[in-house]
Amino acid sequence: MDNQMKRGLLDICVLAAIKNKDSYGYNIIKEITPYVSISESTLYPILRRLEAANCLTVYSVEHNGRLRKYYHLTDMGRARLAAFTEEWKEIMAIYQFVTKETTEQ
Amino acid sequence: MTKQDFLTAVRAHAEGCGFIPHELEKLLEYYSEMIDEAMEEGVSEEDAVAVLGTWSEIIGQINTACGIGAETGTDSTASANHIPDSTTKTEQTELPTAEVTSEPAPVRGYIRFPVWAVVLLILTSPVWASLALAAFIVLLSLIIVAGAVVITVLALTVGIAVAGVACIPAAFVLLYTTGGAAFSFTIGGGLLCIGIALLCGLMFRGLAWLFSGMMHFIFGGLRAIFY
Repeated sequence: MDNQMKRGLLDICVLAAIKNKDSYGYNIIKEITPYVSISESTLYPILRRLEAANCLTVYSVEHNGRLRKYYHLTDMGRARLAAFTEEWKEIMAIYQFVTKETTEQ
Repeated sequence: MTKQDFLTAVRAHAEGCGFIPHELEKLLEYYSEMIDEAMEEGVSEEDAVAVLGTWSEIIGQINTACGIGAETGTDSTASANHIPDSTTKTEQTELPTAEVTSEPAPVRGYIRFPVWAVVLLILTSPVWASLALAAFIVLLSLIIVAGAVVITVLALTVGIAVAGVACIPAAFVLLYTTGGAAFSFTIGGGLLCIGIALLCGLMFRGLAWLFSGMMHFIFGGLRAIFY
């Protein structure tokens, strides 16, 4: 996949991973990996960027004697996901157009 | 490589890259958590660390994401804080360039001396500092007085001993000049002095032992407080 495109999509994937339930870093990677490759080092700047943009908040929970950071989707994050899905409806339409078999002539 | 070695290496090399301490700590907590999570799933410590890449790769990736050294027209303040800014989509909101504060009460995995405690210490310093100074001076006086007592007893011992010892030749002189009675008296006095000196000597030994015990106690206590 094109790197630039991938970068934008990864942000969205991370937001989607915490859409229904708060999650922690390691789990987010596990959830996203089937769809797009992401490493721990790639995820970190994404999380910091999304946090700075107020798309998610962070809180710590004690787990097995250490602290695990959980990420929670904010309203702004939800809005961004919605904007993405809207935008991609257009793209889907274009995709249909591009792949349309010119059978009806 | 162990988790600790890895984190130490990242910390050591990141420190030269202009990370502010707050951001560096977050970075290290993140990687520490990643390693712990992997290990919890049965991955060995060695593998958990290896999969993260080398410290140079990590720092390179963070720097790239923050637009440092890249010609992506990023905001320099955001880069300095090592918060990546968004350059891919134009409809994204403007990044706040100040330090991230959206995290509720920051809980750290690493032990740090809290800022509020330091500020409190500074503000109340006129009170506790004067008290500490007074306590120190009292302690010092105690030591000096105790030392003085010990030294006095020593002086006493030596003085009396010398007097007693000096009496003996003096007694023989007197025997020759004055007579038997003077000799007996002087010898007796000399021996008495020597006896008293011996007792004082014992007292000095006891007091010196007490004094050294006291000093060990004081310094032991001080060491326990400050270390």
